[in-house]
Amino acid sequence: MPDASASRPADPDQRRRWMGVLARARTAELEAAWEALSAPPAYAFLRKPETGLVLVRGRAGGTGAAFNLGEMTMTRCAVRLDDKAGGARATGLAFVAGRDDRHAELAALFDALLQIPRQTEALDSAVIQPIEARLERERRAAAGEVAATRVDFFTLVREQS
Amino acid sequence: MSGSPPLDLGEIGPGFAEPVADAQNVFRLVLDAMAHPGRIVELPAAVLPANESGLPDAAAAVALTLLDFETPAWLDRGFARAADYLRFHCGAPIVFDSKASRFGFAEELPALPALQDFDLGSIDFPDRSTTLVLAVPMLEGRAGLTLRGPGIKDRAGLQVGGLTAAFWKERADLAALFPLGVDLVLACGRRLAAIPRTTTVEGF
Repeated sequence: MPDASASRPADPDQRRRWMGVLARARTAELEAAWEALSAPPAYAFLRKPETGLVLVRGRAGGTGAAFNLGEMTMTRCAVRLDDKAGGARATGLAFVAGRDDRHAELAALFDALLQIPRQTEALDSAVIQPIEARLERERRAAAGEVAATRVDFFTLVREQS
Repeated sequence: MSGSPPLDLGEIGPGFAEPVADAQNVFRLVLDAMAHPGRIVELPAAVLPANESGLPDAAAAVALTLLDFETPAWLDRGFARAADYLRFHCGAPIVFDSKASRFGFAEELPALPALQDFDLGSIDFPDRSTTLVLAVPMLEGRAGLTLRGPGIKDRAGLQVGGLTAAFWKERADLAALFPLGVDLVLACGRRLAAIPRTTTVEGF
C-alpha cells in the first residue's frame, strides 16, 4: 500500500481507483457496507441521482482516431456530508453504468467518506478491497474461460503461405 | 478539456430538491411574470429552501430552471462567487464578455455595463439576446414606475430599488432598436418581476 499522505485533498489516483471500484460494485455490496457503518453520517444531495446517456468514444488499438462507439445509460449523483461533530465536510461524486439510483447514491456516499483522511484507510480495507478482490477474481475467471477457446490466427496465416 | 479551472465542490450548495417539479414550477412562474410585465411572483416555500448559491433565491431558481450548456452566463463582480454553482448545477459556461452571454446576473447595479454591451440579438433572431437578471434591493407593486405594453391592461405600477433614472432612460432608448433588445428579470429575495423589451416604462 502506498503511503496515502494525510493531506486533505484525496490522492487523485487513489480516488480514481476507489470510484472505479464503487461504480462496478453491486448495489447489495454497498448497501451491506453502508449498514455496517457504526455511525452513518447525515448527508444532503447536491445533485439527486439522475439518469442520462453518455457517448462512449474509443480509439482503435488505443492509438487511432477517436470514434463514437455508442451511447450508454449512466446515472450520476453528488452528495455532501454534513458531519457536524467532526466538521469534515466532504463532497462525493458517482457515475455508474445503468439506471440504479441507489447504486449511484451509495457510491457517491462512499466516495465522500473515503475522502476524509482519518477513515480512508479503514474504509478502503473494509469496503473497497473486498469488492476489488471479487472483481479481480471474476475478471480472471472470465479471462480463463476465454483463453481456453483462443484461436491463434497467426498460425493459420503462416500455414497458408 | 478546456481552460476552465476545476470546481471546488466543497463550497457548492444544493440545487433543486425536486429537479423536475421545481424547475417546472419556476418555469411557470417566470412565464407568468414575462407574460404580465410588472407582476410580482413569489417562489413557493418548498423551492430552494436553503440556497447557498450566492445569488438571491429568485435569481438562483431562474438560473437552475433556464440555464444549461447552451446558455453562456455573464456574472458581475458581486456575483462572481456564484460561478462554480452555475457551472456545476446548470453546466452553463461562464463568459467574461457580456456581449457573448445569453443570461447576465448582476447585483452591483451602479457598475452595470451599458445595456448595449449585452447581446441584443440579431434581426434574424432577436430572441437570441441576453436576458438580464438583476438583484434589486426593493421590489413592490403599485406606485413607482408606470408600465405599459403587451400583457398589461391599461397600465401597471412597480416600485424598483437600486435602478437609477439613467438606467431606465438607457433602456427606453433601446426601444428604437426593436425587435432587438434585452429582457429584464428583477429579483428581490424570493420574489421576481419581469420587464420584457416590449414594455414601455415611464415615471422614472
